Amino acid sequence: MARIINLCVLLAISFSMLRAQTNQITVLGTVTDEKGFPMSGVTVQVEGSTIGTVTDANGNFSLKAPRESTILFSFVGFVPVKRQATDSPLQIVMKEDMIMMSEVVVTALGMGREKKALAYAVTELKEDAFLVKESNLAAELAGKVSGVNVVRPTTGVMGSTRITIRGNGSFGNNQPLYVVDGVPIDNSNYGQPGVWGGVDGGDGISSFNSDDIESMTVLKGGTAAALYGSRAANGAIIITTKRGVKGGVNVELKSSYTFDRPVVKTSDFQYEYGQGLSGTAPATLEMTMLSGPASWGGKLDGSDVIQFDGVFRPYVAVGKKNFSNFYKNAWRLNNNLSISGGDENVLYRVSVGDQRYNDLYPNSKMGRNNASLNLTAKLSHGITFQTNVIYMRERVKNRQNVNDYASNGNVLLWTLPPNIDIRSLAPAVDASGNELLLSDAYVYFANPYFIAYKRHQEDAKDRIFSSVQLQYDINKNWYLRGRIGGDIINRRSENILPKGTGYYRPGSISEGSSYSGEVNAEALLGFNKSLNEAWSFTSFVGWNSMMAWSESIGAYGDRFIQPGFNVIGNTETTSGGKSKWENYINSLFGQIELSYNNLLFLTFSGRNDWFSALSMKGKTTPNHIFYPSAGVSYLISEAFNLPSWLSFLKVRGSWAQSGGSVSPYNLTLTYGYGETIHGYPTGSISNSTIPNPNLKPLTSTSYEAGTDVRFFNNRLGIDFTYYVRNTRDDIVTAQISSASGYSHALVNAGKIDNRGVELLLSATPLETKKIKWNAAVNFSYNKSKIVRITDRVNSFIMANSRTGAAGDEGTPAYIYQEVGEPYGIIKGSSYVRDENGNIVYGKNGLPVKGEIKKLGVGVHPYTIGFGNTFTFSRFSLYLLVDSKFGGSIFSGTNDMAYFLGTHVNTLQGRENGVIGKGVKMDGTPNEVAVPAMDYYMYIANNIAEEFVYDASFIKLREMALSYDLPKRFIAKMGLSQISLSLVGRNLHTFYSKIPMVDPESGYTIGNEQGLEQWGLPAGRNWGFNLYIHF
Amino acid sequence: MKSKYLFPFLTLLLTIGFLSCDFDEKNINPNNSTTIEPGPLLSYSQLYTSNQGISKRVQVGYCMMMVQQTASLEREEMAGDKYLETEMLGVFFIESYNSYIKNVQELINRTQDNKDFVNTYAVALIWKSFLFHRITDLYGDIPYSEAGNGYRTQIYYPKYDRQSEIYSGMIRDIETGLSLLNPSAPGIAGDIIYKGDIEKWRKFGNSLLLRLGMRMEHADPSFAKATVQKAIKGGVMNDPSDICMIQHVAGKGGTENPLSAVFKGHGLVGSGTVKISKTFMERLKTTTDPRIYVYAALPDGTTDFDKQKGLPNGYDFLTIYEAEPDYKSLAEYSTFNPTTILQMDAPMVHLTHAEVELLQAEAILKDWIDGDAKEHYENAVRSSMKQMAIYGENGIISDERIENYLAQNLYEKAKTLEAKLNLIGTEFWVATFLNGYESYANWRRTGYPYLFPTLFDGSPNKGRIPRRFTYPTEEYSINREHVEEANQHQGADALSTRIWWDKL
Repeated sequence: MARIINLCVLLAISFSMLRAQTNQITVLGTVTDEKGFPMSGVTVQVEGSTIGTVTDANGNFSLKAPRESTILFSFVGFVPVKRQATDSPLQIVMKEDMIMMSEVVVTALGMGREKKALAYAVTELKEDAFLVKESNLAAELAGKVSGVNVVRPTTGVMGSTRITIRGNGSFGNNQPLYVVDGVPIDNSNYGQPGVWGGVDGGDGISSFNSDDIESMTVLKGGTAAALYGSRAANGAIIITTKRGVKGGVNVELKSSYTFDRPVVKTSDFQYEYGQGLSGTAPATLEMTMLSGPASWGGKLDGSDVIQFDGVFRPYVAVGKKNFSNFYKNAWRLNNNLSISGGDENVLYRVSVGDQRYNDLYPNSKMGRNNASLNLTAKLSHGITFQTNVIYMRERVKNRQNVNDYASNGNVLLWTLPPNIDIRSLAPAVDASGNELLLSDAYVYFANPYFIAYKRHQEDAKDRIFSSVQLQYDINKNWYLRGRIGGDIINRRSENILPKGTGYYRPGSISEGSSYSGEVNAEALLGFNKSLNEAWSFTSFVGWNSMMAWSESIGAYGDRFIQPGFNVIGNTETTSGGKSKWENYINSLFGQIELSYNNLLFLTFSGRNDWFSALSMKGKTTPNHIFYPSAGVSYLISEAFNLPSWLSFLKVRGSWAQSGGSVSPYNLTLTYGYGETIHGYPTGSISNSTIPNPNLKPLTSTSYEAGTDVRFFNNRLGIDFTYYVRNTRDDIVTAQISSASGYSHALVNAGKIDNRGVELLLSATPLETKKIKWNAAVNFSYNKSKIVRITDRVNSFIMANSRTGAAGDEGTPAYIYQEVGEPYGIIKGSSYVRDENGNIVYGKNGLPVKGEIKKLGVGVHPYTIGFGNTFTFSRFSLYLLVDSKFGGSIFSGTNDMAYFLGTHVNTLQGRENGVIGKGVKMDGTPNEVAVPAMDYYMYIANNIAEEFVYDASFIKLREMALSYDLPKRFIAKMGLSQISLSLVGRNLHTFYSKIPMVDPESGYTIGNEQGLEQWGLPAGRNWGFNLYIHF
Repeated sequence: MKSKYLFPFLTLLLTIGFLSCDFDEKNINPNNSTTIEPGPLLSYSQLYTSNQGISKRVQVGYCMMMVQQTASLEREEMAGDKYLETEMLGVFFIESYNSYIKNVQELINRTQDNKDFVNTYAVALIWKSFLFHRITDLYGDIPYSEAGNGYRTQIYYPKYDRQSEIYSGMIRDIETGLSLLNPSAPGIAGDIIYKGDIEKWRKFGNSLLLRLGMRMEHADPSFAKATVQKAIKGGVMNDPSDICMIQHVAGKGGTENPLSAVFKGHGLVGSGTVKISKTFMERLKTTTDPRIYVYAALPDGTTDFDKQKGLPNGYDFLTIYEAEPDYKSLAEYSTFNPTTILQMDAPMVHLTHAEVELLQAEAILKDWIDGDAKEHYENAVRSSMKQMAIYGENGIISDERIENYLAQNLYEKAKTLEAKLNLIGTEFWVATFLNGYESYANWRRTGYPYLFPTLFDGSPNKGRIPRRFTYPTEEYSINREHVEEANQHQGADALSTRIWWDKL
């Protein structure tokens, strides 16, 4: 096939040679970019003919052209250059096309569309946005895109990420659809910590390697993602992987090695009083055991005091170094090798990656490998074949428990009395092989070394992602495209609580295995035509068939028999089960885009989805829904003559309806069997939520209006959008009267409104021959409101804190959904105050406990990112500041630090009692002194308001200082490019108002944001990147 | 050249397109059955009539404490003898509807039109009334006619029915069930209690009618009398083997006696959270009741008569000295005997022949039925003491001991009608030890035995033994109009409000 094309080209060249024999000259030269680097794959053509070639790996070209003809140099993203054909070699410098008038962006369904025609705001990130890596690809979006809120919980490098675009629109799923090379991925999450603790099992997007990404388009909501119909309500992130590039073989190596150090505000801990209760150091071992993690002892005076292991140690502050002595040796090593190349007919890219992580928590590790093949081939008869296959392998050891006590090794780091060195717990087990506890009276405070080296968690994921596409260009108007792709995941996990575990001596083991994935098959027929001089249109219709499934098996063994042999066969009782589900969506879709004079664009689309989850024999309501959209884009700067300083002005507006997901098997009752007694099996209804035979997914109606304006030849650009996003018929698991036999029912009743603005300011304040400064600020504000839950329910509790749960220590705090309030508010008990705001105290000198009321919102309404790139000669400095404002967090860590006396605020009043600042019920100042331990414990157990903090922050999120080695130096080594960078992530927090913990310390990626307790400490990551282009 | 490729392409697209458009079977749950046989539903409704949490904190922690069969020094949970108000008062309501009410209703849904299951349907009607009567006897007006059927009727917020109507409904259902019992039809499926013995179900049904009839004596005397007479005519229990109980099985978590399991799991014998009340102990001791050896033992296992000591009701760790100045430790006070009633396979008792005999004795004294009250009283004592054998070897009371007890002639010694009723009521209280629901209901109806209310300072109900449980607080946010309607009719939602039949 390639030969036939080559033959044609050859023939054409010969023809023109015949025609202009005497006037032919050889034109040769080199094409470089503004930095002087050779550009390969640049198309070099004789204008008006088919004579052409491409530049090779060194940017050189050579072709025969008629004398005086015009040679055209073009490359995507660069301003085309025209030169006259001469005998002397041409030195062509190509400049990036800043105005990007004809810039093509990848949008929904993998359709490349000109950015100017788009009726909605869209942000595209290219390879250079992923310079400073994170262990989860989605987390690398933090601070870069307006309207996108990225949340990373404190669950370590193997954790998941939560992305919400334009607020939270549903009580159910709020994360966007991820699409790679036109195929949706399976972003299932394998478990999240809850009020009773747990581990973050990781998500789907984290397995993908950002080194293989060429571009990432963020479609911010229903208006942009409308073609995805029921999967579009939360927006979509479209990822395109790197292809090969024409002209020679490129071998590239990317390496990075970085370190992590824990960042803890030790100034918020107290280091003056040690372990003990009621103001005295423990006198006997029994008293030490009774004190456990309590730091209500005596002043640290250096005397010898007995500790948990019977050893007498000086009563001095050694705790300051506990965090750095425990969370150490954390590093990350990433290597990626790719080989790519191609010619006019075939482009290929093979890449292999290896990532190793040693997490902050000792003995917690992750290893990832990926191998991918990307192939594009032009076959005969106008058929193009494209495939991308990625194999991903992930091995994780020891994901950490956060929140709650059980198996959470972080607890003692946050709570240990200051006179105890964490390393004294290093033996991990006692003489009998049981967990070496700080105190037998506090079995739930785990020994961190026991958790690191004896408790065991492990999981392995093997995954294949593939996309195969065939496009047939029938003629210049019609084309046909078929695509099939899938994401298939196999994951195995094992969790062992060894025999001798403090809170559960017999130990237990659980094993799990799951096989899941999603396959999509799609075909579409496209038709493009120019009607006349002014009007033209592009259109297509198509269908998509989606199948998603998951099959999982679990086995559980309780109570080990023989110590040290941790397998299921060695347990007293075993149990197990299997479950599976399948879900199908068939869709029919179409779109038409009309353009007038290339300056006014009208786009209309529609998609009809048929759901298996809504299908049931005998059901009267439909199992399909239609999702339309419409939009307009008007390039005012093309239509009118604007002053020259206004280089570009576009206005746009669009409207769309999109949907949400619905799980299968929710329409009917199911039954399950329990114990069998005297030979009789017992059976019962398994549902405690009444299924809804008429269930349907939510409908989201969104519209937006915006403008893109640029000044001074693109030196300054402002992109502004106002959007509204309203959800109706959200599926609510509404609480109903238990007298119905059920505790909840599934109803389509929820209404949630979001509105907001997004602003992107991009500027090049400085641009000279030597120095360039690019800056971009992205700003977004989102206002959410719960309009309705059901006609009877005006609020419900989404989650509650571990503190105060089940009557345990600490004060409870809740995340509520309440009508009239923003999504996910924090509520808890409050102080009682007089008209002047003074706290009211009771007769006993303790603050009066006030009602439960709203104390903050769990989601930040404002996000601002500020990125700068300074280029000077071969140096460049990139800085990204990321900030969020307006949200709050309830800190269980601070609450328990008050309860146990480890908080610096509990120092006041230790000697003579605390006289609370405020007034008595009669208005006179409070003068009652309460012993410190009683006072602070009371606050910790009763006043949630004290522990709800403003979670706003400003952080230096990413930094990279890069240097490109001089060309003449590396050319001697036969290389094209070497870049060295000093990189850092989360290097510094400029602003934060929470004591002890980082503002981004939540433990879950679920909808219940705003709670924090005993997670891993935040980390500062810095190191080196190396890039070599051979 | 072009059409050659176009045609197969399009065909390929169209064929895949028409695949899987029929989604009906794709949405059938592969993990759980969408249908079930009636048998397992009946077994479930019988076995799960009790569970660990409820048997510990309601059966023992509230009911037995309030009628002073047990006592504790607790101040929050397990403190029923101080009449404190906790969440557990509402939890019984919630758990009952979510577990056995829902499933017995589903059982009725699946058998009512099925001729092959007419006996199972009959038993389901009788058992449903049994399950409901415990709930209404605790709360008064409760959801009944619209309850427990949320999926089929789509009623998410059932109304509260008047207790008088609930009693009529239950009695009607029992009578229907009794009339449908048919020895020549296929047997009862899944019957754990009587293993399909139709005759025993007839006796149980009538005995339940007797219990409900007697309960109504103050509220609707004529209906009560008619019901009692019908019950006797229909044939009530006449032998200890007619006992309605769940015979539990040791070894597996789900089949063990829930009360025994929770005692063991929470170490309640050693922790001293549950003690035999001084009031109850006095009765056992002054009458030299041989049942003391079955019910009571010291925490260390001693069953010596002289060593058994009851804990006074209404005190906590600080105030106990007011009642017992020489108090040293809880280890000196008797608790449940672990070798008998706390065995893992100890049965959970719901209605006994002894109770039936005592109710008949009462009915005779009221001139509602014929017979010899003293004979019934003595039958009851014998039956109850013989029944102790269900707790194993250590529960067997010898005939000699039984006759020695009866030789005290307590019945003869009760001269007045009031004294006789007191004796019968007190005997009922001793015989229904462990079935806290029934002891509490019968005490409210009869006033026997006389109990001095406790006077615990921290209690909002100091000095008044509660007459009912309060509704769960969640009903006020979820089902507000219906629960407030009930309050309008029944009276304030408080522990002191009297329910319909509680008119003593």
